Amino acid sequence: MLSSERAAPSVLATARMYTPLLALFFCLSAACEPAPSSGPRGLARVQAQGVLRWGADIQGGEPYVFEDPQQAGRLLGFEVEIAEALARELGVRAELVQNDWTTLVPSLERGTFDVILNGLEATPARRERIALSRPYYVFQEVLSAREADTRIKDLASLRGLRVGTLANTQAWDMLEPAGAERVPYEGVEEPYLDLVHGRIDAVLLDDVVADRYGQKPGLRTVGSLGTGEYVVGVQRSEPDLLNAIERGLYNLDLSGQLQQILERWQLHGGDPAPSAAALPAAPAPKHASFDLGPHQLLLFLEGAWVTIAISMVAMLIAVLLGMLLALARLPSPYALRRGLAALATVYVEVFRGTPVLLQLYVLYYGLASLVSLDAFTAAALGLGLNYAAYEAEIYRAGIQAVPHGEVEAARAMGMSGALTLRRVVLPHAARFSLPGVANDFISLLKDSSLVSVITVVELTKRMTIAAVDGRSWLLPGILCAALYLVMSYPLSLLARRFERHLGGHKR
Amino acid sequence: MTVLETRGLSKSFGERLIFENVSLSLGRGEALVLTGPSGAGKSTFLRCLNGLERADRGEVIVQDACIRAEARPREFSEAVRSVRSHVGFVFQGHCLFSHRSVLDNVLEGPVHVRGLKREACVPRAQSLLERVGIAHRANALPRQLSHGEQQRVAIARALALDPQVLLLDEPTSALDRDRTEQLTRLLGSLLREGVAMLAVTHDQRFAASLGARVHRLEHSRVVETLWERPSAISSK
Repeated sequence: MLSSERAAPSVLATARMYTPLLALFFCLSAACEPAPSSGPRGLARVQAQGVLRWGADIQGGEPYVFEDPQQAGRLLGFEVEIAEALARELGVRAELVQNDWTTLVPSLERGTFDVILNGLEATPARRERIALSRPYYVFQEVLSAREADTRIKDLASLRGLRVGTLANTQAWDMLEPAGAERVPYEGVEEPYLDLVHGRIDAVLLDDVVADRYGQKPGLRTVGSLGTGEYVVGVQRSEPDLLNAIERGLYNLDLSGQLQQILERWQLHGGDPAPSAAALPAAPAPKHASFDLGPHQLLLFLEGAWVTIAISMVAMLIAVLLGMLLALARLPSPYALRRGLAALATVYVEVFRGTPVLLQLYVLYYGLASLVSLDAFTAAALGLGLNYAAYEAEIYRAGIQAVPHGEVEAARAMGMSGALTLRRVVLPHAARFSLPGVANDFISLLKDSSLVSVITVVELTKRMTIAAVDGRSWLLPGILCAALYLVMSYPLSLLARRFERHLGGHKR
Repeated sequence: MTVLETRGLSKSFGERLIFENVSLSLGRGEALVLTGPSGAGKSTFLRCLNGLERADRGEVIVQDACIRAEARPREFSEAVRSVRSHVGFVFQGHCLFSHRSVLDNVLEGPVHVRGLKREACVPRAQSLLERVGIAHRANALPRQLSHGEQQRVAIARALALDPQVLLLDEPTSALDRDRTEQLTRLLGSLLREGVAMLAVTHDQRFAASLGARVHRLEHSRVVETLWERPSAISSK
């Protein structure tokens, strides 16, 4: 009887732990179901709607697709012109559908848009999943380095060096067998800025990008490491649409329109003639699914470790700085201290009232010319500075909850303000604050996924890379979620224990 | 010999005048009781004496220390600190440190305010607890104690700093008759040792058994008085 009573709560606890995981599983499986098709498909659908919806990411920037700086909302770029010309060939209008670049393929499959037209590289892996057109542009993989850095000569010389590129690109895949340490970026300007600042040793990116963003003082172009093709992606189940696109591109090529567009944008990468364009020297095709082997598992654990490390350092910063901020905001009769309190309040409001993503960008890229922090430091510091504002508020609430009579009793026996703080206020405030701090640690653990924007590969980024590589979001997603739960669940238990402890004290 | 004196002490909260121009003095081993209607500001007066509240005008003099109401913040807080080293305060709600044991509550002053070695202070702290009759609960936490016991710990905590003046806010309000008599005996023995005390109370029997002078705070004036109905003492 006794033992079964004991066992019951632990079973319940286990069940509680797995409930969110199961829920996630069902959500993900539901999301993976192909959208039920209704009405016409393929070319017929495009013609019926009178619009060719093309998926692209405006964040890719000039010269692909970008907003006209003179006229907000108007789109410019060579891909905009190609899309419009293609649409004309099909007898319809072109309409851009904004989509994050890394998820263009799954979005196409879900039917968010009709085609992908956005620097989509023809890789064997992609060819297995979606149908690819003839190329509209053949690009060079351009390697850039600092002028003074003579180590870098070719692909082989990159072994062990930090090389920046976009994740899930042909360049990303080329760098792995070369033994380079790959640093993933989400924008095209940032890798070159980091190269100038010495945060990375080289950048490998398409000539389209390198010609525009890589021409910075102190940098040199090492050379081309190969070629690749930009193609239009179409759903496999819509061969007639693919045919129409192929025909359209052929016509644009034949009539010279394609050449004109590329020349207008000063793109000279390679020979766009489709017949001449051989498949690039891409790595061997990968398996068509996410392969959860020991290697992959190790990478995920590595990502989890980065997540933990960043969260712990950030939390340490947040706890200490938050304490200082909370102390600075205590009421005081002195003018100097009141000034300090005002500054602390401004700090809290600014850091709490602006997105942490923005703060990370400013800290890492915005201040790069003043203080060149490495990515890990910037990530931990950025999250720490942000969370300090929240911790300060938690402590302030904790301090306000300290029994006022005890503070007066301490003052009445002759304790100084500092001594009262140490002997009476902080012990109480710490107890009141602990549950909130533990909760914040859980939030921080998850918010740490934001630091992938400044090239840190933590757990979520690792999952994204694996998912795009393996073209499966379900298994990596579940693995990633499980790892987060394993990290955060002990923290929730701890938070709950603190709360019980607090309740016991108050009653 | 005067140990505590106020000169022209006045205090208002905004427009509301609490007390005005109060001058009184308290000698060694003397007891003084402050009475008056609820809300008249008796506790505020008591709090002004050790600087928990700042008067608007006037002075509080304890030994060599003088709290001037008009002093600059730094001078004011230094004077307050020096006054507090002679003055013990027993709060109405006792206000023991809830996170520390009874013994640690008593040790807090000698060890952390005076900076003495803990081991050196323990015997005296224990004898103080014995004196207030609570030595057997030395390791208990305050919330495990009754009201009367908490108050006795609060008195022991104040005595641990060897005050010359003890300020007591409504000391008998939560005590039954037996407990009040116990308290009176304890305070009486302290008076005989030369500790002066000023208590805010409505309890005439308590005042009488301490042999205290009575002051009354009403309409923002403090006047020395007998209880308005002297017969009340015997009728109770």
